[in-house]
Amino acid sequence: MSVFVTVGTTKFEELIKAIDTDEVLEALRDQGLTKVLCQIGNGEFTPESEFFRFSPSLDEFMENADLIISHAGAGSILEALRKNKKLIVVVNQKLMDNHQLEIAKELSDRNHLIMCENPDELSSAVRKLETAEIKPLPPSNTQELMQEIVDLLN
Amino acid sequence: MGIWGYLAILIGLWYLVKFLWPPAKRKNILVVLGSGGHTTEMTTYLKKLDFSLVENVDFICAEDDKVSKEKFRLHFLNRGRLYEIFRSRKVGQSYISSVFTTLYSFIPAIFLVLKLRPDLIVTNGPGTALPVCYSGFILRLLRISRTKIVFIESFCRVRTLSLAGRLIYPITEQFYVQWEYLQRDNPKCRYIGLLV
Repeated sequence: MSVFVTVGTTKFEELIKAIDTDEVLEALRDQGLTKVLCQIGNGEFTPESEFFRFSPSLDEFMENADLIISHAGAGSILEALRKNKKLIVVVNQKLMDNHQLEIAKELSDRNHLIMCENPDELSSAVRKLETAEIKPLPPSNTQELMQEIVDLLN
Repeated sequence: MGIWGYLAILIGLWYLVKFLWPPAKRKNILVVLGSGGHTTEMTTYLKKLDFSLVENVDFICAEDDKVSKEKFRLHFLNRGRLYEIFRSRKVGQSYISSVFTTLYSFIPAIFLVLKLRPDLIVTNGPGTALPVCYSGFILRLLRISRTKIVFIESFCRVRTLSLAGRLIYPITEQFYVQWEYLQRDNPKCRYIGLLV
């Protein structure tokens, strides 16, 4: 089984460094996750595992992964959860974007994902996968929204 | 010239505006594309819109907003026209100077809304949403258009409304939120579950 790691449009060196440690790789292997692919952005640190920098779409990489480890960007979080993938979100303390933190925290409180406040906690987050009861995100109600908008118009 | 003279000029202007820009006969939606993640969310919503039920959809974005232009080109090129207007607040701009640029951006916004006369403005902020929505509101007050405003707050706003949301909230016909906490704190908000 495989893991896809994504840092988004900039970089997140601490996350990629954390992935590259024996501690995390071992925790992943214990879960049967032996193949690791990282999207590292413009970070300087390059991992031992397979990596690339950017891609116009991460769709295919996410689709093929059994576990996604992502930065706390709302777009990535949503994309992963809508594919019903197991997701670990690692917060980049350097960015301190409170809204991204807020959404990650809320989704973690509702057991839709596992949140790491710090890359150091990554191996314990991976081990949590075994016991955590991850719930799928409720379906979106966009259809009704658009129906109501059309009704408002007429 | 007394007050009656000015009043006569105002009424004359009002008729002139109605005459020069007669309202569109068909039902019109104006979608305001914000920037970055907002445009991505708006794209998600509009993918679920049955365009055959709406006679005409126009889009609007800031002139320097490459992301919105690209999303429009990818998803809505055949769905309507894209209008570009002056950006009201650039990222990193100070609040004081943004007050002035926002005021200035009202001028092109009000002319565009006057021209398009939308029945509905749909937005999720930020960027050009403020001048466009308030232009629509003013024209509705003046009975020049029938513009109603719908705001859809981002999925990212869990417990507090965004700045654009708070500013536009008072003039909305419908204000959608994606988390129940927001409905509890702002009674006008409508929560029908996640929208993304």
